[in-house]
Amino acid sequence: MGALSNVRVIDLTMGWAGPLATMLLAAAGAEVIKVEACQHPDWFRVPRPPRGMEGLPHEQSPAFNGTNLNKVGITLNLRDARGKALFKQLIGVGDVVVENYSPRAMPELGLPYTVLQQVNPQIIMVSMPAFGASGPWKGYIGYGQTVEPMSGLTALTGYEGGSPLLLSNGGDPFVALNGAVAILTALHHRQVTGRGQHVEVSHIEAVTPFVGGALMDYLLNKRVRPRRGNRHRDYAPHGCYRCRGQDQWVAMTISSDQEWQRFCGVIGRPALAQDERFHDAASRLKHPVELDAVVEEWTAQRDRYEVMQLLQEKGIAAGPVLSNAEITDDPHLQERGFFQEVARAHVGTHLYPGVPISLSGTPVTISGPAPCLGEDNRWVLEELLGLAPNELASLAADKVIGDTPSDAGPAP
Amino acid sequence: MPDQALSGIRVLDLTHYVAGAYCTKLLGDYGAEVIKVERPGHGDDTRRLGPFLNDIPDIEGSGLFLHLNTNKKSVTLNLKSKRGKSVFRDLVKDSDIVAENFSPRVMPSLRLPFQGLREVNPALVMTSISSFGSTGPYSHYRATDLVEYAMSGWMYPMGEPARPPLQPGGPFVQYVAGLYAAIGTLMAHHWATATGEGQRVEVAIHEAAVSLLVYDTVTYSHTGQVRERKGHRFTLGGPGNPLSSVQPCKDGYIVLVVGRRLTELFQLIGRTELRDDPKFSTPEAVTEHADEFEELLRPWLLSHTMEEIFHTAQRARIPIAMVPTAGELLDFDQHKAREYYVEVEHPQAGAVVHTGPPFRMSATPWQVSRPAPRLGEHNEEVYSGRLGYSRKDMETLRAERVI
Repeated sequence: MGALSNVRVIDLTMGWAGPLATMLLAAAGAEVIKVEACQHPDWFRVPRPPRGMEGLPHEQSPAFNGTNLNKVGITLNLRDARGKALFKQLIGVGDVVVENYSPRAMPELGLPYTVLQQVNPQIIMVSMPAFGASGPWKGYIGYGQTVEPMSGLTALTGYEGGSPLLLSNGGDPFVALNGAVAILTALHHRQVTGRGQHVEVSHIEAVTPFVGGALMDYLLNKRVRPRRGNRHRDYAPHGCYRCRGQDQWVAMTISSDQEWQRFCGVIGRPALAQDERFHDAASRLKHPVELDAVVEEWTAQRDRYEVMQLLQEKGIAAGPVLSNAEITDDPHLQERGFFQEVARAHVGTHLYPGVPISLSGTPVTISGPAPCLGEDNRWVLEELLGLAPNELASLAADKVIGDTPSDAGPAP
Repeated sequence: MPDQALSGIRVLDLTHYVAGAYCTKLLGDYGAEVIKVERPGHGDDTRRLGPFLNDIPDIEGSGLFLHLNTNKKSVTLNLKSKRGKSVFRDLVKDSDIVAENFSPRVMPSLRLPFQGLREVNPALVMTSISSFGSTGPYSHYRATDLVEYAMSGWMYPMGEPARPPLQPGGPFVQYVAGLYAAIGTLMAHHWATATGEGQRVEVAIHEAAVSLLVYDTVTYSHTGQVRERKGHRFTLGGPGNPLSSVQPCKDGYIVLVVGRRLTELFQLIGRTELRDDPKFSTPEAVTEHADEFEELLRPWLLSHTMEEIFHTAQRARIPIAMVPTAGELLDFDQHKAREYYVEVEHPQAGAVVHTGPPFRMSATPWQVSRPAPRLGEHNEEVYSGRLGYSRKDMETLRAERVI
């Protein structure tokens, strides 16, 4: 039994930030009921099948399938009166409801916190608007690629002297983690007091603490930290070095003079430890180009994993630069069983990353694939809410529920 | 009635640097009592990391330390001494959570493994964060943020195709691991509250970083698509997309996030006729003519500031973003209107501005009620007040350099 096996989450979230938050709870045993509408499926279900695949595109999105594992999936048109009524019934049996629409959406649907609280006074509602539900920017639109720059991360990323660059994977997952902490914090309070509440996660407010060091530098010294590429303010060598093979690299950090001496031993050039250009960190930082050339002359002749092993044996932080194709082959992750095979209708069996939290007494694990659209309508509506089978048929006929997107699909 | 959501939770905090300290800061800022246990005379290594005022090192003045340790109390304790271990066990007795981010060897070699602490307190949750986890061939390997980014897949697709892969700016991997640790801790504490059973929580920073690349790894397993470096243009595979890119403007940079809103974009820059040009009629066509498209956009972007572009675009429902630097981030109207940043007086550092709530709770506030502690500031309060040690006990502990 998972640590959260007494928790039921009603999940209205879409995209990445919300769904990943609730997926983490599901991994620890919470029952997460994902509510989509045929008229508005999760926008992570793509309109076209992924490259090389045929079939139902809305069931084949890797992004959707990877961020909704372990969930129960139903459809409900919340614009329909019966859909709203059923949603309120769900709220009645739920502990937490999570949404990441624009701040206007739930009030426009007639389902703001004040209404849901009347249905279930103990309900916890977590809303995740991009810029918050108040203030001059409350209506502004945000995605992962807006959150990340607006939280200060992009300005710090880039080659030395170059323009800023986006991270490879936007700010959404950072927001998701904050969403999960928010839900659990409110759950603790309810566990102790019996009281629910409304929690708001503004994406930019959740991620800005990540640049606390840079903010403090500005506050203390009015200094705007420069983009440093792969270099470091205090450590050298600190970088990404070419290895044997096509586009193969190793990253390493030498963080003390003792490590530098050991490094010079490993590469068979002990004299460099006494070289006046390199003998201490201050000197090495002053000769970055010569220093990097010394390092790369050695790494370029070797395999990146070999470089890692030779350096790690001497207590030096180093590791290969891996692409998305290579991570699943890494021996460490394989031995730890981090990636797991999951079979899912319409796409077959694929590897998915696990949840990087282990609890010694209760499982945190992938137990099932992402739900197909409306897959669990019958179970939730009949078993949980007590509807008769003929009522389901009527709801389906009126498109309150269903299992097919009602138009070509959502715009990305 | 507790006034904060986590009031009543007691945390013993053995963490240092960022990941562990951010985990316990989150708990403390929502009301948990966090006692930071530091090495006598030395303390958390972050105390020695900048930024410092005028770059002059001061163990009570590290900006990073002040940022990460709000609301905590500090006691000093030598965990290597026999007496220190026994004091630590006394503290564990009435704590709910122990958090640490030493290398996996350290707690067992101090003879303070989870199993032993659990005997003292069966409901104890012990949270451990390490670079690669406590099992597997890399469990004793060393890592820095750079190495974690490299090995987790964040770096390879970042940067220019003809240049080396680029590390992300800022130590976000540490904050992410801290968040995962807070999630695991709260899950385990939820279980302990319900059942009285404690357990061990483990988070590997490496796996925390890998897990966030679910988009890349699951896409690869579904389609075999490898993500390559495309410079300032974003891509999830295939060519770089100029509609999702970093662009220079009059006073800095903006991030275009246009999606399919081409009509709105051409209206914004006053070039509605481009909508009829087959080279720019669809996002796919724009991607094919990326250089030409960016050329067309550049004059308008370079004649407007990032704030002008941000606001006019957002009003036209195009989610363009600014790329603010630290000073600009502190100056956001939105943050001011929502009173996001808070100022707290520190006895040595003076008035310190802190980032505000990562989430806002309607019934139980986030708050910074005390600044980061000075080294050993709460020795008396905790050891005499909470554990009831006598004046003589305290003298002995000091004389033996246990505290």
